[in-house]
Amino acid sequence: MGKLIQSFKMSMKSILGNKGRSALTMLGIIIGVASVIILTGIGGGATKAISDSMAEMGTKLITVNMRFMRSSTRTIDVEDMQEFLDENPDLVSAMSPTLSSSVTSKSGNVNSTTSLSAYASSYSEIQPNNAKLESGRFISDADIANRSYNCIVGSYIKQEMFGGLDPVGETIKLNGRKFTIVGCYEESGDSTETSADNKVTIPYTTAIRFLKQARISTFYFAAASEEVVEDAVEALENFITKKLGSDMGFSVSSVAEMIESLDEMTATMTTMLAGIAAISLVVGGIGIMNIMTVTVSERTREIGIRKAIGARTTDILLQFLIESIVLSGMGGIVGIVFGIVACGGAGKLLGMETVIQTNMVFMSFIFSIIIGVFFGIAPARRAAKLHPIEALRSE
Amino acid sequence: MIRLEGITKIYKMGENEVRALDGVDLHIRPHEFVSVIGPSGSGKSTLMNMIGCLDVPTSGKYWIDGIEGSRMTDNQLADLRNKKLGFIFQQYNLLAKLTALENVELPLIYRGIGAAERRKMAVAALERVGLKDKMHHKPTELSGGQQQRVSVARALSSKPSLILADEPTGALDSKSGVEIMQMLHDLHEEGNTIVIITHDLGIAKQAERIVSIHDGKITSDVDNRSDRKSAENINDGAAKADLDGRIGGEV
Repeated sequence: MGKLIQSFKMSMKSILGNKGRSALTMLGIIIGVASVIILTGIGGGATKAISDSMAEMGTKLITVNMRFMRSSTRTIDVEDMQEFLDENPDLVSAMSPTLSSSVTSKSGNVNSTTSLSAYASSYSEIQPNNAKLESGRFISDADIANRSYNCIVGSYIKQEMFGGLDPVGETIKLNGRKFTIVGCYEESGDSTETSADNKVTIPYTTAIRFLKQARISTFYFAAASEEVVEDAVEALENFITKKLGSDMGFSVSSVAEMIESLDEMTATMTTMLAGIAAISLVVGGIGIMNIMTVTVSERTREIGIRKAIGARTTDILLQFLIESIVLSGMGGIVGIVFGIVACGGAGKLLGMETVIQTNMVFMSFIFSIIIGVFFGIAPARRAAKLHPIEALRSE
Repeated sequence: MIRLEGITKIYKMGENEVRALDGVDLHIRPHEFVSVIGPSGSGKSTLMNMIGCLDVPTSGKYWIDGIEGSRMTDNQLADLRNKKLGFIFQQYNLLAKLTALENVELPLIYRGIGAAERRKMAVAALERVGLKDKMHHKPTELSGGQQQRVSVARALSSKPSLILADEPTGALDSKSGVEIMQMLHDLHEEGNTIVIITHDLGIAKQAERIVSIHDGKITSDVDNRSDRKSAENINDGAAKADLDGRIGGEV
């Protein structure tokens, strides 16, 4: 232990005695570690941005998709889904059947192809973020019961067909059928024809008749809480499998599940980025090996003196190995500090949030130490194997 | 103390074999002050390396304090040097980046002595050579004579069985040289065993016993105390010619 401390002191002396050279040697490790931290930080930020935007869709959202096959005789209808909702109040809190299509909308002399979606009134509970209104109201239970020809329009329709005035109370023709506008959505895109604002929503009961769709293939559920999402998905799967007598022909998915798989994907990407950055760490290690080889040649006489007065092979080996490890370890620490600072700077420059990956900070430090050992061992062994007489003779 | 029996060392220089030592027998007893004299190429450096456990012989045996060193591993030799021997070199061989105190501490570090005791021993050794007040100076801040005194302190610090001095005054001015020799005499008085390797007859003559070496063989071994005359008359052709040529009137 005493010898280790002594070796450490010696290596610090030697590193500080050659500040310029030591700094240049460390630069490779500094850049390597910093780039690992910056790249994974940006990767982490991107992951968080995507997860956050998905979470905005509602982490409680569960989607049931039915694929109707010719062979299947049994099917799932709205009543079945309502039954599940009524039976599992601890798992799900709301359900809405969903239909979607594309229709021709017309008001005055403006024509457009508008995306149509049809929901139950409970949709505003399931996806409150997608049901924010600027004026009027959402689909009501009465609309569902009466199959009324009422609709909610997006801000594109308000801008282009009603001159930006509140369209509530006006009428619009969808595929030639007259609908009364009862509500107007808040702007979500940029109100152009190709944006998400060119949309119209009608009651699903109306849609079944209007679109001549006998079956509903998509149902939205809201889980009772974020904790029971997985249980709810499983219960739904079991419920539908029992109803259909088969586990084929449908799928149940949740946003939480999607975020999870997305996280996995971006984690793989982050690891790949870190791997690329690690290559520069290895290059830095070669720099260390290079400088340690030079150091050993320069200090051959010192090695001879140390051996003459009783240093063992292992003492010399340790001294140079520790010097190499201290060099790479210091490079690692400076690289971490530099990387964290630069990561914040890069985030500001790119206008995105960055998330420092603590495990990557830790791992890159460990990795730089390992590099010190790996690339320091050959020069240190060379020093340790020098013959004392030869070493003493050298100038 | 030290016994060499039939020590032969052969170096291979390309295709030629150089017999640096050729069947050397030498016995150095405790508390002796021995000088080994010979011209360059005589094999005295090789002999010093053998006595100093820096090298192993091609054949023959040697013992230090009854321990046979001729078949030892590198690490065993390192331990032997560390515990039994104190080196004084012509070029001081101090580590330039360490202070005088740290230099003196170095052999004690390799011996694994704890920091507090190590420091005490090193300070005592520096006090012994009269450099306690300069212990925090680096070698470059000291004169040649002072540097050699630091190296004497380093040799002393671990209380070795044998102090081995290789041309200890070779790089010093005459005044510092006298000081160092006086120091070695004092150490001898205190009971230390000392071996000096030199080509300087004036230095060699200060020892109790003078061993002459030439062409890898010991050519004379004279007790300087009982017969000062015989020392004056070292009659060894080439060696004498070489020595006379170098030292001339100084003797």
